[in-house]
Amino acid sequence: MIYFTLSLLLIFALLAIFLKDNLLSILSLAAVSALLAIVFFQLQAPVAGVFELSVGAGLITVLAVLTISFIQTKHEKAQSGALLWALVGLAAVSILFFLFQLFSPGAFSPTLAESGWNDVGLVLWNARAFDLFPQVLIVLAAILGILALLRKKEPVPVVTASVMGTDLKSVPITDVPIADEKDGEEPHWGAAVPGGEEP
Amino acid sequence: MNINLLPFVFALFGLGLFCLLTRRSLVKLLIGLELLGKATTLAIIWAGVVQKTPATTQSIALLVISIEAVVVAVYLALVYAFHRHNQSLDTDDMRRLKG
Amino acid sequence: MMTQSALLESAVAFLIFGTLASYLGGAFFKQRERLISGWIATLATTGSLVYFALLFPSLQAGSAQVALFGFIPWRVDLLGWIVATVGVVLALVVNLYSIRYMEEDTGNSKFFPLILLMVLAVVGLAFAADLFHLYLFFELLAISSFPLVAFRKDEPKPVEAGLKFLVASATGSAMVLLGIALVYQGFGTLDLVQLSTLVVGGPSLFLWLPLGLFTVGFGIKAALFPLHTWLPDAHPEAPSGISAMLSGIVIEAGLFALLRVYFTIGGPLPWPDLLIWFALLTMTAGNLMALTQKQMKRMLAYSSIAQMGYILLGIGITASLGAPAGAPGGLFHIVTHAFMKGLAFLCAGALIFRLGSGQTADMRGAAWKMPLTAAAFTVAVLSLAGVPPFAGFMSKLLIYQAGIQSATTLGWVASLIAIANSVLSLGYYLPAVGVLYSKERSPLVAAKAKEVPFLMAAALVILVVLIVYLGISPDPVRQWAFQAFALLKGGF
Repeated sequence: MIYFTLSLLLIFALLAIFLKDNLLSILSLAAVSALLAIVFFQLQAPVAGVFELSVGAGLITVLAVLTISFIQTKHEKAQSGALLWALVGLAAVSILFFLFQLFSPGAFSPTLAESGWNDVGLVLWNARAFDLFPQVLIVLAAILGILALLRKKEPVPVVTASVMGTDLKSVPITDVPIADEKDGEEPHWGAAVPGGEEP
Repeated sequence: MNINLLPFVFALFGLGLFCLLTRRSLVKLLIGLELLGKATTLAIIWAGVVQKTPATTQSIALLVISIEAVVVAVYLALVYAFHRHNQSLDTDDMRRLKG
Repeated sequence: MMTQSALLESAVAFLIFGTLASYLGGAFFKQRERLISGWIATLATTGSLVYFALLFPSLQAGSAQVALFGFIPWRVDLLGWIVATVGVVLALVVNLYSIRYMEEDTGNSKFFPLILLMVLAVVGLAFAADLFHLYLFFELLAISSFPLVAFRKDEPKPVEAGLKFLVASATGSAMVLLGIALVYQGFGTLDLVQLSTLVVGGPSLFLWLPLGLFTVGFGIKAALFPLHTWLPDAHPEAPSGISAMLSGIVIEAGLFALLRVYFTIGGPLPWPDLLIWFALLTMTAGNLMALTQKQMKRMLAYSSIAQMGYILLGIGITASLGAPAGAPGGLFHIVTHAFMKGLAFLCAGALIFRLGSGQTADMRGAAWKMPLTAAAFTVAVLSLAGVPPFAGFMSKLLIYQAGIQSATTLGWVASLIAIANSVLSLGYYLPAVGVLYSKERSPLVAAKAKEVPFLMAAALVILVVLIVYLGISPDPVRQWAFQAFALLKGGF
């Protein structure tokens, strides 16, 4: 049985690689993820299965589809509907298959050791707790990195920058008398401020 | 029943590498990376089945899956930044860098 | 007197809290984002360095298990300490330098914390005693460096370089992870110390595949010859401080992790001869490609590939031919290369900072207006080429000696090829220096060049002093390198 799921998984992987349409190939990837989750269930690894289903098939797909659709608003094309339907059909079949598996647990591989949420939690919080340390740092690094990559575009003209009060970035800090910021009247929008010019 | 999933792991990994090496679109690169990730996750879970320590490998798999998502997020942020210059998702547009 | 784990905890805590403080400080005081983030990061690396220095005396006895913060089992040894400390020193200099260098950029409250996370990753993988733990720190290193490479995201080139870097690096990570899964499947443990005892009697044939995957995976990250293609894009396009970090410690970290794995589970396999051939290929290819480069930083990036060849050669000579000086030579070269390549990139960055162009031709005659930068650059490249009395000469000398000591044909050939490569590398270093000291000046130099500001100059001077000091009196650092390998048993 597990071979059947895996073969289906490989077919979807091939689809994901060879389909021309970006959206469809991402959806095929989601199907790969869902099938992998089923494989995990079949291997008596339900925690990894649920996680793969929610993060791999859910979160990553949503992120990717959002980005692609955000980017591709201009040259949007009519998608090949037939393929989409075929895909949805296959996904439906695999979900049915999955439900069938759920209601007959352990029917095909009775030797597999079982481990549920509690066991995994125990391992994660005790035996491998030390892995959570770099994990937290990785998430921190990713947050900082994404913030850095998506920060607002740099203000191009120096004049505008100085009006916005961010002139410190182009002028050495020692050259800017701090008192000026307080007592000087507000500069007009778009007006050139001599202190803000490039030295 | 004797089952061995390693051939599938290598097939999936191979497909991922094939995708990375031959496809010319940022979306396909993402798919290639994801396939590599899925293959390794499967290998990890399978290692737990073989060693009869499913809890350990599942907790490792959890970390791996979440790292995968994190890498994808950073990748998509880069794709977004790339797109603002190029209006395309084609790596052949990456002509500014040679090599 | 603090215990070993307390010292290491303090060193790590400085980096963690530095990361948070640097980000929060910069985010709250938007007006002075760069200064506040930068100075906090500099202070954090300084504090961390102090505790690393205090940690040193306790490492003379060999490796020890510490429980960091009570729950993170690291193994502290001299080998890891040297790599970690070099990373921290380089980060300190880079932070100091970037405070001024990044003045044209926004988002500096993310820039400096990411550098600190990068160092933290180097520290972590220097001491990690578990394969998966090692992998996680590797991933941290990678994820913190992608946004730094693409930091100037409003220009197209850095973003493309970042994408290339990410794809290459993630492929390498996946290979390493697959190797880890296979090791776990074969042995049922990921603890490196346990593995090293299991492997001795275990099935060595089974290890071929994981070891191959580790070699290719870490090889991609360490830019070994056929896997180097991402490096010449990623390193030059990053801000110069980051180029220095990437070339100075990040690729070495890849090599270090590979060696850690080799030393623990590579024992029974006949791999070492291959290392020598790869090393020779890597250095020759790197040097040949560097010869044709028109951009200063691109040239330096290719020269990094060549220098990785030297490090690998040193370690290969000890592993395969048994000459004792090789591996310490490689380790010493990691130390000197971090400083000299760091200095070279920072000098190139200083020139770009003033001139706004990275083309070597645009830097014609810059030495007359930027004497300190040009002098520092000259020191860096002469040291890289292995000219006495600079640090690079001392480390390369050890590697040559090891090849000759081994008294085998392969050793002699390797040493001769390495020496020939050093001469070859002068073929691109000397013209670069010659351009700087040219009598005529390019229009850009005439219009814009002037000496770099104090903070950047200070960073350059620190590295120059380190290079000259290590060149004139290589001991005790050279002794530490010997000691690190003498203490090594089963990878730690």
